[in-house]
Amino acid sequence: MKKTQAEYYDGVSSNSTPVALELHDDGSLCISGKGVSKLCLLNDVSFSPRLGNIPRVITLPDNATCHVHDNDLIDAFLKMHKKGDASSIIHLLESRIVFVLAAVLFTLFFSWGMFAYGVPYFSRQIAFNLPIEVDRSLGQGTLEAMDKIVFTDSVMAVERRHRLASRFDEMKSSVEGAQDYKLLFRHGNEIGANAFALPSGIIVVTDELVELSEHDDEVIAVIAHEIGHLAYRHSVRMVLQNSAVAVLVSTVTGDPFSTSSIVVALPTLLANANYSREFEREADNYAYQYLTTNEMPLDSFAIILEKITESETERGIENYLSSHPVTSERIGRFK
Amino acid sequence: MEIMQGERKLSFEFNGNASEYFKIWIVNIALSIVTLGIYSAWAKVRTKRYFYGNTTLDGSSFEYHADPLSILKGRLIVLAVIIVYMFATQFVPMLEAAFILIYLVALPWMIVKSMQFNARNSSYRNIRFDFEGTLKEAAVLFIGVGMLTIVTLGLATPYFIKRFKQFSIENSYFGTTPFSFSATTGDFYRIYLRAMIIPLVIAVIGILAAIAIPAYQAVNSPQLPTQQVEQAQVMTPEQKQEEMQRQIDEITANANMQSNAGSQGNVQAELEAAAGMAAAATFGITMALYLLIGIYIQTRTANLVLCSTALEEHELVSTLRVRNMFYIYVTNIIAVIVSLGLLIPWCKIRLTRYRLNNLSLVAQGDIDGFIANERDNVKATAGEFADAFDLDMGF
Repeated sequence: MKKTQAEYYDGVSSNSTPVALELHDDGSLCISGKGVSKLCLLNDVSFSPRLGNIPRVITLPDNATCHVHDNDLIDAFLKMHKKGDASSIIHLLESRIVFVLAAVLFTLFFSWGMFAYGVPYFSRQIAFNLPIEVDRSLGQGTLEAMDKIVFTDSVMAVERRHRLASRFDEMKSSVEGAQDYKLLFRHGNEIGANAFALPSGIIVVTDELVELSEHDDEVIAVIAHEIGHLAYRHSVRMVLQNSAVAVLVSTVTGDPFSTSSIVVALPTLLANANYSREFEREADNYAYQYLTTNEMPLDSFAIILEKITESETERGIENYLSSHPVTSERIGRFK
Repeated sequence: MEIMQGERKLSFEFNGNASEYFKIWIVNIALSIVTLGIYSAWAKVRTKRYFYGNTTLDGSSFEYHADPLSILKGRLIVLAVIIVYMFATQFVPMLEAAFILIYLVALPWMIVKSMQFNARNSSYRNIRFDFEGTLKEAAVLFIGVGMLTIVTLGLATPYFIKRFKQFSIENSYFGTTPFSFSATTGDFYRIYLRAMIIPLVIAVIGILAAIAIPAYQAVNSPQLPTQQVEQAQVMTPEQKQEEMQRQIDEITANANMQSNAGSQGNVQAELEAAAGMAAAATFGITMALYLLIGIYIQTRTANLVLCSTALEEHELVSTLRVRNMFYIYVTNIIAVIVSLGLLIPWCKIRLTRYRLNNLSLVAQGDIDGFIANERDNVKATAGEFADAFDLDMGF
């Protein structure tokens, strides 16, 4: 027979009665205290599953309860009468350092795998199965906004513009699915020498970038890179990946709609930077293939990249959380 | 407060500890992954049981009773609804508006059910809590007053919060005994007005600094970047925005000059570097300011709500301090980032401990006389559906 202290709650009023709980070897429980005297059989009562060291709740047939603080005593009693269940296995996992370490390693490994491979893989599968209209709807309004905020009208020489435009038309006819793409020129102002592709199929090249180039091939190489972004559906994949990361982080940390939204925001930001680098590499590959198939000088992309970097350094722009891969690495591939 | 005769101050205590909770937390995560999310319902119940079971008042701990299966069912229903929504709107885009309408109508229902589910699955001394808010009240509150806050561009927010807290508390029961709520709308507005003083004070310091720094720099040799960063540090968000706009204009002007004259490169570069640093500093300070204001409002509201809550003649008292909460939040954020999230359990434990250590019940005599509700207590029916949204709005 084992004896311990417990609190008794009758389930009718909020009265707390200190009682003595006796656990008999035959499996019966005896509860006695001021105004309480009960004898119950093991099969008629239920025990709350062990969890950390919170008090064990024994529910009696009449819905009265007993809170017991000596968890080990209860465990031993239940074990003796073979009353262990699935939840005691969970408690075992939670209390052995080996299992806990395994859980830590597994979770870290899984999270890394999902961020690095799972999320990009699934979002690619989904993106390539979505209608192109989804991309189109993503880009609506972006150009208008940028025209208001940074851009001014292009001041590029008309003949150069025409020359590039006709080269672009040539490109479009040689690339599958590029028929709707549009090339626009803008004066970049604060954003300087730059080019980007909007998911709506518009490619914007700034005057400053064209000014930096000595040969049209250099601009064409940049445009090929931007077509790569469009062809590989990078915008829609980015949206998919970012939402996937947010959902993943909040489910993994068990904190959906977390009050500490930074917990979700930060990994999303980091993953985002990583994914954009990956996309830049893919777009570079596209440009590389385009230059090779069209027998254009490979280094035209390298030359213009070098010039852009140079002009950015001069202008004092440093990208701390750069979305582009290290430029020297990119340039190296095209030499 | 002077303790009167027969009055007892009962402190809430929290006995959870970080290493124990860490083990529960990480096993929860690992098992949820392995079971493709199915275990997450059990994980949720274990987590809540851990926090409830470690909270004691007057020697008795709280209990959480929800059945993981009903939570799992609720989550599956929500998942099904989301999938139906995605497919339906994909093929019939017109349905989107219908879904939004349904969601708006269903929102009050879900909130009521969720609060009911949480209350009825919580107990203290084997007496269940309850929530009896009606759908009608919830609809008036969330659609009516909710609209009012939107129409008034947020000016009615404190009023909305007050009505919401009143709704949550006055409809809550411990057994058969209702909770009462005594805070006024004015109390809530006072908190928000005081919160607005924070940026004002900073603006005053900013103006003083704006006078003092140039004066100081007139004496010393001026350094462009430092000046701009320091100015940015002491400005309100509005001022900062203006300042940034001014800088952008300046840079744009410079850029134009450059394309015309072509010899201003260095000045422009310097200006842009300064603008970059100012932007970084501005961002950091703005975030800290937002966090401070947010925590101020949250902490003061929590104190007000809890201190205005009573169960018959027994009154709750909460004594949280803004500076302590700010310290805990900031260090929590840093800890989570540095530990790749592994310190989340530690953060949750210390925040809960601080909150509960500052909560007490001033009881008149003993608290033994509350009577359980006879009604068959835990029919959570639609509760699990709402619970899937984790609309955790308990005390």
